[in-house]
Amino acid sequence: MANMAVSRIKREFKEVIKSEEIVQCSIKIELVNDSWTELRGEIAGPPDTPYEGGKFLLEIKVPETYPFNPPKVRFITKIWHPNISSVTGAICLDILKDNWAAAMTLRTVLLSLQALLAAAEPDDPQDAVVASQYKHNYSLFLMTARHWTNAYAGGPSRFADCDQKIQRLKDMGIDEHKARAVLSMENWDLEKATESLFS
Amino acid sequence: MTDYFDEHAPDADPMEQELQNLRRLRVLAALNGLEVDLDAPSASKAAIEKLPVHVITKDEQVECPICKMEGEEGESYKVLPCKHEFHDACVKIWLSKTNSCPMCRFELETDDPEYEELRRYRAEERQRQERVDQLLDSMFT
Repeated sequence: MANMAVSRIKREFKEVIKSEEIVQCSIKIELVNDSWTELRGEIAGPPDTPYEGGKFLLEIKVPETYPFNPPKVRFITKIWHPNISSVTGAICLDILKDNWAAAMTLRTVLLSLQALLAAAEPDDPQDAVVASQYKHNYSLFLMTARHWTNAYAGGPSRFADCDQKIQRLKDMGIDEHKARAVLSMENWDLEKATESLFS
Repeated sequence: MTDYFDEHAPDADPMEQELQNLRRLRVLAALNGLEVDLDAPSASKAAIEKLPVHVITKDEQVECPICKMEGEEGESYKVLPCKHEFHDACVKIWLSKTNSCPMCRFELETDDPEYEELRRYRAEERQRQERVDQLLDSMFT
């Protein structure tokens, strides 16, 4: 890895460790290997959003050409959000693509992701199914996002109805995550979910 | 056999020509108010050369926002028109990729005629908007 990328990452690491956000437990960053090319980020779900109370893990890969090219970031924690793939965790955010600027840092990236959780852009979706639910059935979107936050990120809200429907599919031999994903995609219509699973 | 192809090769690479046309179309679309993503080209060499240089003196405290290293005495920094400054070498790498300031996205001149047309149009549009705002302000204050 190029020298500049490593020395910058080291400095940024310190910046995050010393930042106010770490004191408030809102962002965190950890090393994955000794080469400083791969890091693990963590952001807290922002208050007054369906992600509140959840902790979301991020995979951060630093390219050799950093900071002239953006870091590659992906959600490891499964999340229900229009701009994040519910399958792969891939993120649609302009600053991680064409709108990257060399003065941005890991700290600003993590804070931008937190802002993305608070303000989705359904017209520029990464996950078309989630975006469509967000636009056409917002209350159901909120419930699904809260439910996912509870299931994968340690959020507080439980929904008995969701859990029951997932259990029904599990009883049919479906894996829990698969059951949750299909039900979420089918707006929690058990019949439709069953149909899409078995047809 | 190679001679045959050499003889019949068109003047310009057709792929290149196609890309140029596509770019032209996108600029036209943008000029007509459609939202299109256009990759910003690199800043022109002349524009980079013209940037004033600031040589760091003993008691100055500056940090290059690109490499995040503190400026040391005798190092040269390039000052962009927006007053943001960076290590000469750092900002040259960045500007050979894209034409905007890493801090505030202030755009420098490029060598791309299509992009320049769009850039001028956007600048004029901003000025026009400012004039309208000023006029409205003066009417109601």
